[in-house]
Amino acid sequence: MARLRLKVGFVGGYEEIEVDVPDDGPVPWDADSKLAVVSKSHPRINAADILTGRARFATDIKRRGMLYAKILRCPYGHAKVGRVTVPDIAGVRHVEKKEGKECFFAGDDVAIVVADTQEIAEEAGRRAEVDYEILPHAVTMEDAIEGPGVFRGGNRMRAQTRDEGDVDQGLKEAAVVLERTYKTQAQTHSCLEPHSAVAEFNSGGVTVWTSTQSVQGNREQITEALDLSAGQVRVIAEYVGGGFGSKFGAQSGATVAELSRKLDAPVKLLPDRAEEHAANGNRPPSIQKVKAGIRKDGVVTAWIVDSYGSGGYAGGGGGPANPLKYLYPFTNWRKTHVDVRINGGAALPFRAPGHPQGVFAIESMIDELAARVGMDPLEVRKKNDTSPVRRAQFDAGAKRIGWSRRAQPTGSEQGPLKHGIGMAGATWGGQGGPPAEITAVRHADGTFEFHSGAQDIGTGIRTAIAVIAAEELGVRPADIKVKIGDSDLPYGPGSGGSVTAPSVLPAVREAAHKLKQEIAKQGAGAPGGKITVTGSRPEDFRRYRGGVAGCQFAEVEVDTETGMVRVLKVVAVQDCGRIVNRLTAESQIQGGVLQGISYALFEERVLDRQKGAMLNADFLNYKILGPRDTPDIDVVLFEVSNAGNTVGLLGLGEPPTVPTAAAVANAVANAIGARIYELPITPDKVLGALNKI
Amino acid sequence: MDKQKDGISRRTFLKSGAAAIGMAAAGAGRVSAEAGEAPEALGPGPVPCALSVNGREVRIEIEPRVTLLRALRHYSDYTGPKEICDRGACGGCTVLLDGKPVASCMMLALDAQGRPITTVEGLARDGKLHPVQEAFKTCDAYQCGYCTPGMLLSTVALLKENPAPSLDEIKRGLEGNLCRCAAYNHIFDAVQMAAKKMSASPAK
Repeated sequence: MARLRLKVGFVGGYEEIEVDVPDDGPVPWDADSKLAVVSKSHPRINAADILTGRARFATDIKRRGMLYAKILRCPYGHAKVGRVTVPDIAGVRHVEKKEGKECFFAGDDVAIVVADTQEIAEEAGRRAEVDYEILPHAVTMEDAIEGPGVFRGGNRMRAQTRDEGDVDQGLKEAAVVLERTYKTQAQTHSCLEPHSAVAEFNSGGVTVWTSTQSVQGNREQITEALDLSAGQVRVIAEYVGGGFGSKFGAQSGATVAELSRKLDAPVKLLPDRAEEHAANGNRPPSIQKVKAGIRKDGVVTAWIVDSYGSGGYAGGGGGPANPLKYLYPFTNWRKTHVDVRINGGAALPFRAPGHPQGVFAIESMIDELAARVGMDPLEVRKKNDTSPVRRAQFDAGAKRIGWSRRAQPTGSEQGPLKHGIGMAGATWGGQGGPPAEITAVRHADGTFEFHSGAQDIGTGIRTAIAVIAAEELGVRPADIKVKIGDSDLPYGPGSGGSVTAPSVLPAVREAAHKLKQEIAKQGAGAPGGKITVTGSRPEDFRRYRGGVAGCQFAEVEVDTETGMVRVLKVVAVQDCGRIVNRLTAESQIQGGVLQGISYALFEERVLDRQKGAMLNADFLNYKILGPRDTPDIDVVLFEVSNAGNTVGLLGLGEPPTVPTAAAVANAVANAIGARIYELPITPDKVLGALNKI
Repeated sequence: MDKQKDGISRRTFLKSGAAAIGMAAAGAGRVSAEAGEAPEALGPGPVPCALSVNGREVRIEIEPRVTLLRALRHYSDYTGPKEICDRGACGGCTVLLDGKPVASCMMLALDAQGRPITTVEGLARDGKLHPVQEAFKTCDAYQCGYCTPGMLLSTVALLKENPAPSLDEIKRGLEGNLCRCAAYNHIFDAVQMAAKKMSASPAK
């Protein structure tokens, strides 16, 4: 091992740390490293495929003799399936029925039809007759909490309580104590590519093309579901049309694999938009009752939260991240959480699970507490937030948005159009680790190829691999061929938790470093045959700080006559660790902010309390943010030299969507002088808060 | 005459559900009311359909109910246009028909016969990217890439109508196209970049 001194930190806050690294590995990059390729802007190496329609998504896969599967789904929130009659239409090849099944949400599967064409499968599904025994349901958390039991074992799951310090003492020390209830809605992932799959069996096993965030995880799940042996399942996801957390499960892949085995033909599954909304994942709704105390000097003395969340019919996983200990290390806090079962589709991980909903409540409350002790909300944050990175970010962001311009007192602007500025802080983990394996090849013709079993769900990891390899090898990213999205490739992590880049890229650097050494060994005079090496993700060494710090400032315009909210501008100050590709880093942050605005203002799964079905299971009535809702976004890539691994980078998938809704909510409150306690902030709620309706 | 008026619109088709299938079988949907022609019996089984895609003639056999989008994706090899909402609400299936952007999920393939269709596969010429594609590449105007084919064609159509759009006109022009990854800011940059390039060297 070699002991090195690395310069870590950020502009205005550098320090040196000592780290121990292996002698033969690459020298870790630090704040003083002069890099030729890394941190510059690079168009994606696969741009031409994306732009010409050559990119093959699972939905694009066609095989000879392929059949089409269609899932029939229950239209009621809770019902027992009776007789299922599928009409005898020419071209229907196979029907599987789940007669007798108890369906726990509208969208639960009742039967599956396999036919020669998608049209025939759909027609058979449309014309199928299903008898249902309709059972009592609860589709809102309020109904599930207060109403009669719908689920065996009760609608409420066991309360979980955690605490630290002495909240009663904390409340006594407070100058002001507030109690507020914040609510957030269920948001569907709405990936543009559905959870589709194609499977083809042959003598050796099965190949599954599927829209997944984890080709290797899917391989394991399908192997188990079909009781096959290792090596018999290959999963391919060369391109994935969005995932956002909803595409780890292998249900689609396993379904078509099983059908393909039975029918001895390739089978394709293409869920439609309604199925995607109702059955293929959502961010769970929350109710967060917060009681908090603050001293006159702005220090929060106690934080008590009673929260409810719902992972849908399945239960579990519904909790909001509140309090967020690594955002505010409150001394005295207590949290009691109860997960509630409702008759809705199962929640799935969604971009920073629990965090946007938790931060909406936390940062709304911090603003309210600040107002009550007559302090600038930014000052209150500085009193309670111990992260030196975020404190520096607060100043940077305040300057960029023009914090002093905000309405004071709140809601004081004359006229019907009112402007406001609000902000929120955020944090995330996401710094990756082992395992991740890379195979690196130098071909005889001098070209390079890097292989990883990770997959690109839109983040640009393919190009990031090329960037790191190019830096190490002294070539251009376009000179590196990258193969990913195939379970037969060396181990790559699932694309979740913002760990893909920080897990994979240090392994890429290891592999490239070894390859460079091998090439050097061969000597300049050698003709240069094919060289293959492997690289692994080493364990982390000492890093500067944990956590991924960020904050966002939003400026809004509220029409107090119509209740419409427009976001005019967002300043997003984001800890990026070491930027790998400036262009795709910007894309991640812009996308995270815009999804956050969409969550704050528009999106909401509406379940019918009468029948339990989703009322807006399309893109006409379930509104996601579009071009005209897109404000100017000032992305501040806040580089932090972090050490920890030889590249020193972070994952950026999740962090930038954490604080947005809270910042928008605080901006709306600043504009109109009244607070909205429930997302999304729709016109009716704005007018309600202004006592106009 | 406007061909769309003569054909079965997909909306009525969907509304009437199974009944419409019977109607199509009787050929009622293809009657030109004004002309009072005799009904032409089509379907429900496959019928010949000739499409002109990216300058090539594509001959397929499809049921009359097949949408233009499915005809391209399932019954020929143009998988560029994507089926996302299947209700004309997201723009993912956008193709140019007679040079104008249409939601190919909202019309029947038979109604597109004899009319030039451009899909994303037809934008690059002789292995060279279209200026709009080049600009999307330079600006990273996508993330997962699933909305990109529709976004590109809407941009091409917008710049044909308005070669120097303002930011607000770009937003209005692309309003029908959704991007869940929300790459909009970079998309706007790309449209502006393409507009500048194309006005500097207008297409032949």
